[in-house]
Amino acid sequence: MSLFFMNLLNGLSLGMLLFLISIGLTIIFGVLGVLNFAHGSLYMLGAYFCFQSVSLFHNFWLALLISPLLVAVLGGIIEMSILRPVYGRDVSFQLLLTFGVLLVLDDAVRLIWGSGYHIVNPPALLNGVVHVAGFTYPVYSLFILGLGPLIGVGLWAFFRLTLWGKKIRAASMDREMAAGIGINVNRLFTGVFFFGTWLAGMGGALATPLRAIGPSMGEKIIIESFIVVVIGGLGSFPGAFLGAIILGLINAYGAEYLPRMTMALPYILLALILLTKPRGLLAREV
Amino acid sequence: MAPILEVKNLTKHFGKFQAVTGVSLTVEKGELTALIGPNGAGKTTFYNMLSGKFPPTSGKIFFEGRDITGAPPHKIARMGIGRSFQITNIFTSMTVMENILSALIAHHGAGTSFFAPARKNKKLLEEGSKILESLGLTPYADMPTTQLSYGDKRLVEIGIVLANSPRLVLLDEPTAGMTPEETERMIELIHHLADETDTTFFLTEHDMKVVFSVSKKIYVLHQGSLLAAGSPEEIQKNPEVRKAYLGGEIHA
Amino acid sequence: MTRSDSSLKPLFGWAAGLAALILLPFVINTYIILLTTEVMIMGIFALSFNLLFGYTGLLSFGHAAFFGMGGYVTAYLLSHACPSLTLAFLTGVAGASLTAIVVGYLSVKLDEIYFAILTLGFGMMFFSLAHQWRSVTGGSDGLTGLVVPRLGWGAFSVDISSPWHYYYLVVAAFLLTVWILRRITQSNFGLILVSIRENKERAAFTGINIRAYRLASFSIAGFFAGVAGGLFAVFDRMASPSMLHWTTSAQPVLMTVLGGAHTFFGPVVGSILFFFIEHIITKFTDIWMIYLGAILIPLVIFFPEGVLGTLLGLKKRKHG
Repeated sequence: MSLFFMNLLNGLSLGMLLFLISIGLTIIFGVLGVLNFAHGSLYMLGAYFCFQSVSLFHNFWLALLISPLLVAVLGGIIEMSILRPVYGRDVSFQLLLTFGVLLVLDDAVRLIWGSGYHIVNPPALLNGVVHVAGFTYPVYSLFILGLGPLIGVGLWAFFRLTLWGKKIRAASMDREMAAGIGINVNRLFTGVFFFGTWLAGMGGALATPLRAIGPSMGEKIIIESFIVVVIGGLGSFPGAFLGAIILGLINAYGAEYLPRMTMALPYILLALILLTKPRGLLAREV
Repeated sequence: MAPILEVKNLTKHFGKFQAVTGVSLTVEKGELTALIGPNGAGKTTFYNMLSGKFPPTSGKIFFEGRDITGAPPHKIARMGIGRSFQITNIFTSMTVMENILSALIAHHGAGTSFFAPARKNKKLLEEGSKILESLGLTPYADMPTTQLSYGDKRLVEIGIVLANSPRLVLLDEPTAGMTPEETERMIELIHHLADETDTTFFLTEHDMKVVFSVSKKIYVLHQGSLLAAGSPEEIQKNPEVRKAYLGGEIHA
Repeated sequence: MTRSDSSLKPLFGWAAGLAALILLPFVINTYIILLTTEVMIMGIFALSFNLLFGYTGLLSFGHAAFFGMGGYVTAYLLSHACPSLTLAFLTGVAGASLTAIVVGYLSVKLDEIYFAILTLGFGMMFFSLAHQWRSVTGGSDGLTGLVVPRLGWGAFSVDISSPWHYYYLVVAAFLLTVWILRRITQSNFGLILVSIRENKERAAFTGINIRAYRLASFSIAGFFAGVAGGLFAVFDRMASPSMLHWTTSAQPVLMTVLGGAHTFFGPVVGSILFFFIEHIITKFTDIWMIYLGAILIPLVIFFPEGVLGTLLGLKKRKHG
């Protein structure tokens, strides 16, 4: 029983991390129509920045503040310099360009930090374990578990209640109309990309106490978050949440009950969902 | 003689929105027929159902007596219904001749030929040249369509449609966006094709001058339902039609 | 220019290319022979991908599935005492083709991003399978240390474990692939593929069964990817999961974009460039993808037709 519960917690906290990353991916797709191949690399960069800041300032919370911002600034630059020239063209160009960014970032990380792995300890406040019903669980995982829904609700409120949120939703539904009613689409796109990559960077920074930091962490997470957003429905908020939880749980329970198939399970799930519901489980609604 | 097209009670809902409601009509073989109506009356939705873009919510479509309701576009095209689109719809990066060749290959079911060079097929090239000649496009045969004028692009689309030797052609606003000269040319072409070939034309059009000058029979669609049907004279006199068009607009 | 001149000109190009490939081993060293062999194998892989991408308009991110399938089946048979190289290779190609028919049947009804992601998913499914089905695939080590039997029969056989002999085998396969794919792209079938790429809707309303044509294109592409995979496994004496990984699927994509997707030889030019860049840079550093990315980005932005496409475009403008 406790093992079952443990897997549930593991799956959910992994799901929350995936949610954070995927939500940025899905916002960018929803508004800009770009599937950002480099999103996983930006997540990785968030983790490395966090590691670097912690080793410089010895303060996790400060690192959590700085590193996503740095990632987001880079994201804004990428959008303005690389993506803006190709919005009118076929989607494959955007995929390829963001793939080019992935190549550059992944190797840049190797150049700067080497190919080895790094770890970051959780902040003192969240270090240690709790004892619940006869088993122990790291506090930091619980922290992530609680943070996910909090950020979800925050984003929901932002998009429903604030002027900027409403502008973004309008632009994602009809770009031309948005320009027509006086929204500066260029600035909005940069803003959204900035924000989406900030979320990726935040995910990376938050992941540092949970996962080893290494140059291949982006490659893995990008495929996972593709799966999350596609099974949930590209551009859909609740979809990303649902997809992230499903994938998190599948990973946790799969390792327990179907160890020989764990790697293939997410892809089987992806194929099954795309073949029965080609636009994902939840229709798009940003 | 049985009508070439018979539509019974055709209805299409998009969620709660009723785009087309219970429309029944017939198109007689060889009788140039028009479907008119104000913007948003459901003309394009109606055409999309006829040509198989999406199935109707309910109702039946018969082409030459065969039930074609809900069949996919490529099957309907193979049966003998061609269509043009409101916004020019051609194979952009290809040459004019290649556009026509593609349609000819589809028509002859010759796409399973994997090895013989398509652009050297004498029989297809001859057929293609005839079509280009009838459209006055011969000088542009080897030109990429991107270099054509707007009117000529629309003609290429007509050429693609004709290459299938369709017995019924649906023209969705064939003169939309054309200059007066181009419109004139298009009207002449439609007249010519209707008289000289076995093809029956069924068109939608917002330019009333075009409608009244080419069609023998007119159906009027209003808010998704059929409002009136009759000869051009009858339609012009019909008070309800005048009301639907807010008066004024319906002069020949 | 007279008519006979213009029809002889391409023939001359072909003859020159053939002569160069045949004579190459007399002027260069073993290392370059190996490199050229690999370029040609990847060229076959990229050409097969471009039938799908450049001609049919489908961006597959899972093309490595068929490359890997061709490689694994060939390698499995060779490591289980299959006496005939031809048999092992042809079974590998058949396996790749069958896989492509099944994956294609399921995938071609989707478009654009959804197609790309679904094919990516299928590709990774095979990658996971290769990783975890140890008893058959050898797990993460793959199937290694293949013994390559002589090609042919009795007195009429050659030992292809020599790089030179294998080079000529790959030259033959490469030329055959180029010839067949070239004919296919210029055929009626090929023209219909391009019309689907150009305008799916118009094609459907012209009587073209889009799914059927896409599936045919997908299967042919899978067949030739299998050819490349089988050749690669014999070349490398192994099949490993990396053959199936999505980064391997990305390679023909990169090569095709480098060279130009809308010209037939673009993918070949791209694979030459790809290896050239890799070869030059890895002389100085192991970290070379960053340079590839740095070349790729401006290329995609400013020269969307690729290197060969842009050059041919310039030539056309000069003459026309």
